[in-house]
Amino acid sequence: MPNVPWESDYDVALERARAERKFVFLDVFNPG
Amino acid sequence: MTYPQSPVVEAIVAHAVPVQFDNSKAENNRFLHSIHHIWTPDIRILNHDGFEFYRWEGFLPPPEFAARTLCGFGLAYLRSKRFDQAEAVYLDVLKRFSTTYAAPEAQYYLGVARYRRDPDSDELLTQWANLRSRYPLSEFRAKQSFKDFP
Repeated sequence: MPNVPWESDYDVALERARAERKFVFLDVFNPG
Repeated sequence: MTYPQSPVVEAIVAHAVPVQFDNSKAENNRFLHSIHHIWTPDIRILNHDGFEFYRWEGFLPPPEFAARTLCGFGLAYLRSKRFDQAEAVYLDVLKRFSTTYAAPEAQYYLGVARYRRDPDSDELLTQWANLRSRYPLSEFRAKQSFKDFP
């Protein structure tokens, strides 16, 4: 099954979003 | 349970760079405090400068999650004045997820996107007439109810 390719660094996510003309999808989760 | 579902993955990667924060890790506390995090899941759709375009909290089953996510991207495109992309996203929601809680929102903002792209068109009233007939009990029907229809 596919899964979301999570970026590990928030600042990198912002920069990638800028370069790729995309938005950032941010998910705050609890593992419990 | 939700993220491995294909429609959810597709919705996210088509429009965004995804990033997660674990709220059980102390190293994340400062950031989570800065965004006033209170409950999970806590979903934010952001511009590349960190500006928050859309947000929601709490679990949704996969179809509802996919539709809500797409509406979030729709509003992000709309607020970025990327009207063609907003329109495409809202049409997608109405085609694939027409029975979800997010569908009335898509119908409402489809009209807004087309109107903002071409203020001389009658698309706002046309799409809001569709909203009235298709989703009469929705909150978004209430939002457009100030308009009189013959």
